[in-house]
Amino acid sequence: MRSPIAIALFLIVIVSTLLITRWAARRTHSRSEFYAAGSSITGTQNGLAIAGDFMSASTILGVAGLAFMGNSDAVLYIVAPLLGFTIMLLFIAEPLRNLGRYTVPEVVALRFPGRSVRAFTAAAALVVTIFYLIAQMVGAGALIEILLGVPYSLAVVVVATLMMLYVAFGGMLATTWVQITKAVVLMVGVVLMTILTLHRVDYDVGSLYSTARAQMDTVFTGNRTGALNSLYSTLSLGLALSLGVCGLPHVLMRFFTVPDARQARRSIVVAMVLIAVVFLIVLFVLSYAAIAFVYGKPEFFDDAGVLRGGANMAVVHLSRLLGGDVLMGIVSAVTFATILAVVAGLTMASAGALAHDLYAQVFRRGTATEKQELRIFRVATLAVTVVAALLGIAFKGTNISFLVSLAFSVAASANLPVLLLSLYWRGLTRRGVLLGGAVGLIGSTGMLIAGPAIWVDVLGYERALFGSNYPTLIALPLALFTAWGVSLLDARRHDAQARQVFDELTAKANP
Amino acid sequence: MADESSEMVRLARVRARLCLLLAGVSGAVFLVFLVLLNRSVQNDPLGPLHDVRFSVIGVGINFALALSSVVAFGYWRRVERTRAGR
Repeated sequence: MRSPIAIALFLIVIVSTLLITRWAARRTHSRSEFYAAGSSITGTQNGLAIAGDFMSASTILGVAGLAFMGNSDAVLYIVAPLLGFTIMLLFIAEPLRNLGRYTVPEVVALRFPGRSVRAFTAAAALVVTIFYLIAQMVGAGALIEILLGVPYSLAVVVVATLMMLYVAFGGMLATTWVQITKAVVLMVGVVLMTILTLHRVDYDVGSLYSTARAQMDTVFTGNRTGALNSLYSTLSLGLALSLGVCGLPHVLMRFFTVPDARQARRSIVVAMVLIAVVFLIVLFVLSYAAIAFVYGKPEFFDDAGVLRGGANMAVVHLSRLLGGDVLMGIVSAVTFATILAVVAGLTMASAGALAHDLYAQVFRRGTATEKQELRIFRVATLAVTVVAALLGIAFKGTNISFLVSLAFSVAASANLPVLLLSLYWRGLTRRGVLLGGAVGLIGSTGMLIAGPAIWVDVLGYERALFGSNYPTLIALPLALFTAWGVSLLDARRHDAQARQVFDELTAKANP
Repeated sequence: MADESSEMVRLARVRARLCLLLAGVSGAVFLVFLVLLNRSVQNDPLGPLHDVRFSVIGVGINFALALSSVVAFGYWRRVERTRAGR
């Protein structure tokens, strides 16, 4: 599938993003500039960057891939984030912006000063970002291997090196502008493909759907598997996908890059509209176009009748069908830019948690100088890069959607309850945070490991200990209940001073 | 100063209740949509994909609710700012 146009466009993406990093590096010197771009990003720019952070390659290609395989879960993946971003707007964006400066654990630590809560929230943030990072690395390696013919391990190393350069030298400013560039390019690519698709059916959407329906009846036979098959899995995945968004550290961290709460609110509105429009186009135009046109074209399938590169490549094959090598090159380059931008955001969040929360606050108890912290930030970036590359190579072939759902489940079950209760419940105690968060973190991860996808498919046992791959419907209420129950039992220790801190923070968070 | 702070806390509580109401409506509709999606798949595994209208209406209602919540929240914040200005 290697084409000179695709290679040229890949190189353009790399050079452009490195030029952005060089420009950003000249403007990034202080801690505030490294972690939060000096809070100089406007609401609209940040909205574009949040959209860029959220619309990863696995999300865009994965949704179309699910629909292409006749998996109705695709509809769920489109709707759930809308609720998530609404909740983020209503409950999180404004207080987070008003209370925090650089990282999410910092906000929880304002309510519960000391090392234990900060260490736990930073560790939970790291777990989520590392799981998400592995998924992106595995996706990056597989995609670049297919698109450019580069060996998988080399592709992972190239992506890892680029993400390290963006973050270590350009900090949040470079990461933000790489995200913005990617979001714009992605939208242009999606709109271009939509126009070409509609042109192909003479702008008759009805004929597109009837052709796709006819193909579905021909190619999809027998039972389809997916979360929607059982009510428990439907609700659990729906909960993880909607609430997990509100617990993703690399998305939440973006609220510190804008100057005030008003811009933070505007960021979400812009992001929500962009994400909704792109997702709707991907599901209702591109997925149906892939089903209608790619099936029945033998050149896209191998001898065993499997789509070349797997179902996630359905949109890429569609692009070749619609616009030849040129459009396929553009779509491939857009995908590559998407991967680079998302991994940069994730690395930023991981390195921030390591340098600012764990090193500067937990180990050095706030005595580290700005220079020392920034040096550790660069070392942390390198460490995260090496770990992500090694895990990306080790997890080759692992189901990407599963890794992403793991990150979303942990984010929804461990990060979100701690953040929401800290911001809104006066009766929460330190023990409540720690035990509730731990139950969410260990419970969601444990149930995922005991579920069929790992216990049976990876570890090879005959029967799973937990019957579902979607733990959020159990883990999230369990975390909330534990935090509530422990806080009530601990109420005697919860003195008037702690209540006063809550009131002060509430006033500061909602001026 | 203390009065100003307690007034901020009171307003924050009122706002949190309004947000809870908005999120509750969106969440309830989302849950109903999930149940309908599940039922649709029980009847026909390709149901949501086969019947584009079902998905378009479902996604459309959720999208409209999300946007309505955003608009309602923005309006409430404007009312608060106007009151504070007085």
